[in-house]
Amino acid sequence: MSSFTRRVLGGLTAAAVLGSAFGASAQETPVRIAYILADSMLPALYAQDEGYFTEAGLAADLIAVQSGPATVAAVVSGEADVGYAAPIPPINGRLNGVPVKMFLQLGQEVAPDKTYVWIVASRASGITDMAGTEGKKIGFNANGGLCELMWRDHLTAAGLSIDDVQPVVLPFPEQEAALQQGNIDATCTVNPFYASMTSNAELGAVMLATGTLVDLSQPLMSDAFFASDGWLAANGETAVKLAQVMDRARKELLADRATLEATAVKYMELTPEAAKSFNLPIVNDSMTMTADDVQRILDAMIKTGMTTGPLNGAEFVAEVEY
Amino acid sequence: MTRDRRIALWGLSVPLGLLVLWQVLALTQSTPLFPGPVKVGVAIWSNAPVILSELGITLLRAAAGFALACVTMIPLGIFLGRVRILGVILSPLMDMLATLPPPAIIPLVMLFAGTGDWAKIVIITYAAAVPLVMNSYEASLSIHPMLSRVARSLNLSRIETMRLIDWPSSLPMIVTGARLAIASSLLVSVTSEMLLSTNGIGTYLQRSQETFRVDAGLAGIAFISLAGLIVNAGMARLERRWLFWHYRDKTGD
Amino acid sequence: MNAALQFAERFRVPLCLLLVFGIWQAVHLAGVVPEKFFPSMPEIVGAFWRMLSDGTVITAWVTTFLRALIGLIAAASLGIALAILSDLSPVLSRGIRYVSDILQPIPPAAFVPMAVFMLGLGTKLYAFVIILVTVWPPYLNGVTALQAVSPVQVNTGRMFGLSRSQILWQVRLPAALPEIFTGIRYAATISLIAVIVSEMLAGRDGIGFMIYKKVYAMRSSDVFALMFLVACSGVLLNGLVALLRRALTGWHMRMMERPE
Repeated sequence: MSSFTRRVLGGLTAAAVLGSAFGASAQETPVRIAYILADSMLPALYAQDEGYFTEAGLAADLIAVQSGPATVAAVVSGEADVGYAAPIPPINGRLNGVPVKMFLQLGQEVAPDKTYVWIVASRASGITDMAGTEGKKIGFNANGGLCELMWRDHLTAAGLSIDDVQPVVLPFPEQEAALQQGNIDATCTVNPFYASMTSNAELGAVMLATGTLVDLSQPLMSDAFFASDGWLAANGETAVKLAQVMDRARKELLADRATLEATAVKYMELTPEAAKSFNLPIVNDSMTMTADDVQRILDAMIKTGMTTGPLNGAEFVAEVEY
Repeated sequence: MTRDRRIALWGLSVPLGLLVLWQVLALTQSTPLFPGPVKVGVAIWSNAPVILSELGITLLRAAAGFALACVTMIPLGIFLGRVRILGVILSPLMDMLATLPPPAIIPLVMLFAGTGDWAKIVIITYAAAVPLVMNSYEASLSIHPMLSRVARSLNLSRIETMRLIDWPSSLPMIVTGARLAIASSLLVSVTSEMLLSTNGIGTYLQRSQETFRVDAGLAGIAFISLAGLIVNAGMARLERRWLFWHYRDKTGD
Repeated sequence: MNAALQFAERFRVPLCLLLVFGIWQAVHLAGVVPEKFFPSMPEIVGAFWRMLSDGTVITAWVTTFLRALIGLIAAASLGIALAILSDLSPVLSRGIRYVSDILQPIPPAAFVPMAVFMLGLGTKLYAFVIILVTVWPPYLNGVTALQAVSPVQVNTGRMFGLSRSQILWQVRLPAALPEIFTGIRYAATISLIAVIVSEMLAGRDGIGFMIYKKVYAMRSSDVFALMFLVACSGVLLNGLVALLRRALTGWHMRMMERPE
């Protein structure tokens, strides 16, 4: 048997095993999590690897999807129990009649040094500050995401509005090439793309702003777990177990740099060099979420015209004590 | 005539039945993410002006891409048919290109053509190219040998042969290719706008998704389908007018 | 000339790949686009080899290819069934035609985001998307071909005392098969695209998901290697359809004396 045939057979067996795995898990509580591949989700992937979910009596199924709205869709359609995204998709969902609530915050930003999102201009664009973006082509990854809020907030602070620039929606991975080729002048980005841009000499990245909001004197939630109202009402215990597993994995990853880097290499497919500059966006030790945490985001959305108020943060949160 | 009309009317019961089924399904779901046809109808009514202006932009791009593909790809296909060896070598390439999903191609095209109108037109041209090249290639291969002999006996020059014999006899097949190409330029124009969005119906759909307005999104889809229907009907009409001789032969035999 | 043509015919896939690789490398060397985003051919081949030796690409490929194959078989059967239904009743024929006219112009990429809301991310979504886009070519070709079966053949069948359904199964369907296969061949390509697009949008596995992950990790050589793999899979799927076509409708090709 040639080595190729053997590999093909190996692949077939693996596919068969994968297929049968769906039918397994009788006594454990199933919890299906739809997520976008981002940094603060890493502890969940790590916990899955280490078997922490199983130890807690949970059978976790992690489903990667491409966008924040898709995670909401997965939760609402019943394909997933829990969603992981930036807070804006579940907020937008609830504003449009989709009954979901956030219950754990997985990442935060705070000034001055714990910020994880940047606005960057190319040297060729000649832009040196936020005011310079007027009339220019600016990129962000999706409408109704944290990056849109970031642009709006920082533009407002510079005396401009989103109508003074030409927005181009472009997925994160394509932004660096678009900047370098002059298709956009400035963009909102995250790691590992930011690190890649700053090390690109030809691009000559100029950092214009960092942090989702201009005012980051208090920690601002950047990622959250959310679920439908119905699921939260019926599965309080599972939510607590989920929080405990996440807590354990987060603590281990924060304490052990080598494991963190290895996990980033494994799941985000970072190169080992890129993983060296990788950090979990964690400011608060606790993942508990309060109405105030959401209210700050809502207020910023209203102030910058992303939505109309008044809105009450408490309606978007289900507090989970773990 | 009346029988035809009766069939046409009764035939309507199939799509209507599906609509009713959809409405019933929607009523059993409590979420706004599964709207029924009634809600979509309301959304069509309230979003029509926006959708139409965005759709106009999309159709213009699709037309530009399609025209560009026609001008470049039909001659290329005929050329490949004439220079046999090139055609043989390149035919797997057509299969390969046909399989590449547009979302995978778009980042590559962006490297060369940017994110503006031009990039989208290039992608549309690419999508329209495959059926056009394939069909004009096949057409120029399958020209009946008899026709060439007729040309020779009439002492036609090379140019005259191509204009009077090759072109009309490969036309029906090229038109079939053009039909497929129109369909794929429409499809890809929407897709490209969803991935490199600034404006157009694709962007509109994307935005509806991001704001959870599924009814508005389905309204947009309804207009895309309508545009497709109109374009296809128009194409069928032109085909009957220009290729009447071809159909006459077919039905007469 | 003839020998060269035969050579080209036999080795057209490798020759074609060689040509593509050559052009790619030339573009790379010309430096139109920064190297970071447009890796050289050796890098891409190396990346492919790496993924092949750690086994990831094979598992993913098998998953994707099986999905496309199953989707294609389901859609082709459904398409032929619809064509036969249309043949039985003019009213149904008209009705199904209305539905196909309405649904056909809708791009899968437009439908997927909405379908995700309505059908979730699982098998339902895959089945819906693949069938929605793949069913039309076999159906449309089937309808045309069933109608175009020559009256001589049908009358011959009648003379032998065959019933209406026997004529359908034993005379008209076999006569229509070659044209139906042209539709299936077209559908094969689309089904592969549809599977990959769905995997990109909502995935746990498969080549589409793998491309998505590699894109986010900025591993451009891996991404392009996977794209070449997809392109070759298309050729393979087409080849499978062609084989089946030869097995089922070989008589037709021999009759027409046209190789292919």
